[in-house]
Amino acid sequence: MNQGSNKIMPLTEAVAEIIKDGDMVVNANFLSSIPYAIIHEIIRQGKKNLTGVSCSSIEELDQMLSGGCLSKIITSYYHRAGGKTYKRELDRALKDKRVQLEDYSNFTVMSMLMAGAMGYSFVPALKSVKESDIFRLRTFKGDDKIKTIACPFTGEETVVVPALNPDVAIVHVQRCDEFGNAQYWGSEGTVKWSALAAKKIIVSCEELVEHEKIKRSPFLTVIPGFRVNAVCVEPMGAHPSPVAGYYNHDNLFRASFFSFAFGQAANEKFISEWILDRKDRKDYIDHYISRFGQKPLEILKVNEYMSDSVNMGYKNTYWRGDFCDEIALTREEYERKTEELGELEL
Amino acid sequence: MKYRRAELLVLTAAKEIKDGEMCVIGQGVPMAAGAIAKKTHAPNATILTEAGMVDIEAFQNLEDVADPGACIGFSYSVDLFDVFTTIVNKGYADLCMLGIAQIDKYGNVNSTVIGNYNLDKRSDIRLPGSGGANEFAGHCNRTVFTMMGGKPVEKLDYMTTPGWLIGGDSRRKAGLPGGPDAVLTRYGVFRFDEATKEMYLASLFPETTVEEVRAYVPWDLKIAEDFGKELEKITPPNKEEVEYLRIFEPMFGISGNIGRRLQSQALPVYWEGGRSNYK
Repeated sequence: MNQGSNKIMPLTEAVAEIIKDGDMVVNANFLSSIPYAIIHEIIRQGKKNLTGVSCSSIEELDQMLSGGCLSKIITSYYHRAGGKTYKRELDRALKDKRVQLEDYSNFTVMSMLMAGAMGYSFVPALKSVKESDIFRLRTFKGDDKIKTIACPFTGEETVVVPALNPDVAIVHVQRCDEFGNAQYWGSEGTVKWSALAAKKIIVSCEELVEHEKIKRSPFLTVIPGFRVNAVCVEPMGAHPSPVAGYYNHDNLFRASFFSFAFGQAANEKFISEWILDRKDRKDYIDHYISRFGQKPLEILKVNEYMSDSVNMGYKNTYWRGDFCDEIALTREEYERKTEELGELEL
Repeated sequence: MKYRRAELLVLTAAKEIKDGEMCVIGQGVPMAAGAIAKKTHAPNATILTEAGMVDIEAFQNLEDVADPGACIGFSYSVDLFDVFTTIVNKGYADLCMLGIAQIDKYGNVNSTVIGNYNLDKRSDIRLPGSGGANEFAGHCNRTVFTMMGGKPVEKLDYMTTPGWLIGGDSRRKAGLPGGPDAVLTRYGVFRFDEATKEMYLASLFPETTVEEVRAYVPWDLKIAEDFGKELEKITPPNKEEVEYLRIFEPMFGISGNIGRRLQSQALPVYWEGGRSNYK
């Protein structure tokens, strides 16, 4: 569809053009390879009234909330660490009624996105959720949060969730070609269904690769080029989360962030220093090096464990010179046949 | 130089795919047509098959829709379920091209059985069945059928795949998107009237008369002129196109049956003793 057109663009442009105030934005990555470069750009551009969707969120939703970007959240897990006194921006925002949160489970968020990706209006989910307050308590999704229907075949009560089609998916992958064929490996999590559920997709990648490289391993392509709207090359774009084959968790950095985030002032300081005052991801990494040196980045390096390559294979052509192996005829014999059997004249 | 109607059918079918479109190709003529379109006028088309090979660029014809060896790599590998849900049901497939055996005047298709479903009579023939046809033609944005050996009928022996149903807006009322756009046959191309959805003759192959086509179609066939349109004459292909097709897939030039007979006799050619040794 859009194959053949070059989708590479600066992240600033992609975020400005593709994400509109009021959009529903899904973070397609699950714990690993979180698209922080894109999220930070969203915050810098001051996008407003977004609905943030993330099956399981670490700090990405909290940062967007701190940046004043979110008015609604759909999630099932919102990481917290730091003991009883620790307050995230979410805790303050819920208390001040600055944000509405709809609680799901990982599986129900995923199921809604999968229905959206497949073009179904709903899909069945697992029964256990009905026995919980996830089913009983509803905020902005109201009646349309989760329902039950009778299975038309067995009559059994079946839990169903509606399709979710976010306006934009943001996703960080290892590599991508200029057409947007995005390859991702490691923990597959929610990447495929979240990205494919969205109306538009922004991909950031560690590396831009030749199309030829994509073609050699088509089974690594999680998002096909024809679905992708922008490809942004952002090395270290998921830091401090890990990217399989590229870098590991930066636990030291995250621990520093949590200690900053104990209070609102410390949180605001983090947001300005690491997001608002940074021009782009390169500037972010440069700032990291200027504050902590190269050493901590070296700790993040992954050890090499190469995937075994497989023979995709291709055939011999039908014709070997003037001989067609497929029907064991020489070119001359074949042409005699086509003259004999031809119905129309050229 | 002589060429076959089947070859013109493939080359004409290729032209139904526009550059930049995403096209699902089915077994037979469509596979060759899709690959040739990509090689010629539609280099930016995305060609995919039901088996989940997305964005293929075949260097020769595919044996079937699950033949990765006919191309050197491809962009996106998924399974059949993904093809029908994330691509077709979501509306990303601009068109599908499918080979068929029997069609009625509203573009509904039978690819299941010729004659009686219970095969009571000797002449009844069990065909392959739906395969991917039902949902591809049911849900792609546009459908192009190719009919090499089959024929139009007044009433289908079995309704395998919905076309325009009973014509008019019946397909939309049934909640189906898309619909048949063209039927390519050995005589020419049929299209569908916008209002009634009845199939009419839109263009004619060379060395073919309207009378021949009327004899091929059992109902009182309308032609383009009945709708104030010009009946197009398809120009013969050029020599290069035919020669390219014969390198790409030699079978169309000699007919599939003769090709298969040659194949069945080929092993002794490679074996000591040659063809004469074949019993």
